[in-house]
Amino acid sequence: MSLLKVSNIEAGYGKVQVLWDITFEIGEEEIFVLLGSNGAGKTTTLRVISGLIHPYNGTITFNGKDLTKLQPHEIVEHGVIHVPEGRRIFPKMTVYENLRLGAYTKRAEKHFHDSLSIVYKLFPILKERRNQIAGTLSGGEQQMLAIARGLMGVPKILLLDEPSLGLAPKVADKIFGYIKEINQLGVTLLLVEQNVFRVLELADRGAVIENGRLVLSGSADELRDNPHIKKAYLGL
Amino acid sequence: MDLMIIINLLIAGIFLGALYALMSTGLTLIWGTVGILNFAHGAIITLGGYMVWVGLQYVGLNYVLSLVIVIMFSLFLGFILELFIFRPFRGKTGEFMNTIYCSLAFAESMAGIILIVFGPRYKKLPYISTGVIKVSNIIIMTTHELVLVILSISILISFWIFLKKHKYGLAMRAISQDRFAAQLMGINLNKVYLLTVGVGCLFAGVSGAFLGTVYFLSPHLGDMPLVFAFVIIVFGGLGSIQGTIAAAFILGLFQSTVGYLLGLGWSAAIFFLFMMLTILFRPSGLFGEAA
Repeated sequence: MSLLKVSNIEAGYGKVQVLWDITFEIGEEEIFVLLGSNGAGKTTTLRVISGLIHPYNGTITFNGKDLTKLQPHEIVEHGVIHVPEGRRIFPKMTVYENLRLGAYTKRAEKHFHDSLSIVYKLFPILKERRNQIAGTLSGGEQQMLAIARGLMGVPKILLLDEPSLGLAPKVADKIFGYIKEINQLGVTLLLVEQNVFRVLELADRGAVIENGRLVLSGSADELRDNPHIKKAYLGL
Repeated sequence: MDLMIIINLLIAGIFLGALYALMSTGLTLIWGTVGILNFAHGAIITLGGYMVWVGLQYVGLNYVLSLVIVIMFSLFLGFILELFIFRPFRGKTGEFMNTIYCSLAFAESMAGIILIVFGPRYKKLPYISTGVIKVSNIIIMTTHELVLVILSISILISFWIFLKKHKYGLAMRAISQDRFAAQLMGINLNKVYLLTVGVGCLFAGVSGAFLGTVYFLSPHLGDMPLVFAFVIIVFGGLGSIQGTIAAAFILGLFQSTVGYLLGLGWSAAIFFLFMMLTILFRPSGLFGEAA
């Protein structure tokens, strides 16, 4: 049964159309990855799902409910949590304050203490640094905080936009490890990544966006074996 | 310099600083979180003074109970400002300038209405308390000034705790740091904007109620405080609350000292000198981020 259903989305910024007829489905507890080069429309797709941009056409259905016309804060209340590209933590607040804001919604507030212990168990470094100003954390720690802040929202699905961007390979590996662990907690994941090789090892299924159109979709294995992907993204 | 004079200047400076901090915090709060320069801030200050007058003269309340009217009325005005003057322009081209024009127009119409309702004659609000505080037979401050300083500082401290601990306080800070990310936390921007403009105006109203006991009430009571508040928030770093409060006390102390050494006429000039120097040498202000 599909948890998130993106149907025939056409969207863009003002009059500049970026997405044409984007359709895919994500099943419960799946890791789904959106692949594509810079400017293909991956981030825009995530923004449409989280309500930051309203599509011209098409629908977003989550858990059987139509989210298409809702405001971002209402979508968060449904358990669709978007961790944006570039981390976007609140730099002048402490780690703890960032986590508190992650649990801003009424739904997440109720589970605040449980979520906090889950997050601190997953990322002990954040517990250690809970009173540190977030802007002074290292890049990897900031990414952990961004993901942790997303988890505080008690996500049913977590949208992660380029979680390995700008991180050293070793740190990126660590982040991918965390993503696996989060999935094992029962959270569905929609991942946008440029690190195609790593992410196809992790994902269950995925799709490829090129120039705003969905050109391929299938299981991770199918994608990995696809000659076009091999040539264009894996350099094989 | 005599120790007594230094103590006197210090007290006068802290008194000014507390009032300045109170009257500029609302302005910097609205700028930081909502991204709007509220030119109606001065008019709300004026109305705050007149609302005490209404409470005392027409309702028959004492000063402290009149403050309740001030608080309710200025919150109400804040909501009106946000709903009818700021929100219609939100996200549209020309938002920044259009909200300035319209809040200025709102301010001028308020001044006109005050003139019609209360007349052109200056009024003076009474002191809350009429005693004096003496140290070895020298008056160092009136009890009225002491009450105002204590009230102002308590309000500022409560607000600081609100910003640090309360959900909506955190939301105000979050929006000022990253509006985009704040939305993704599930923060309803419009709801927090409404509260922020309300609280910003509440600060203006209460500081007007205090200023009205120190200066005369007139339809333009808030004009100079508005200009001063701009200087203070530029000096402190636009949008930074702690910068604004620090700047208010620094300028208060500086002003009282300059007033004593060079004469009172210089104290306003010093203010603008501060602003020019800030813009020249540290445009981001004391606590502001470098652009």
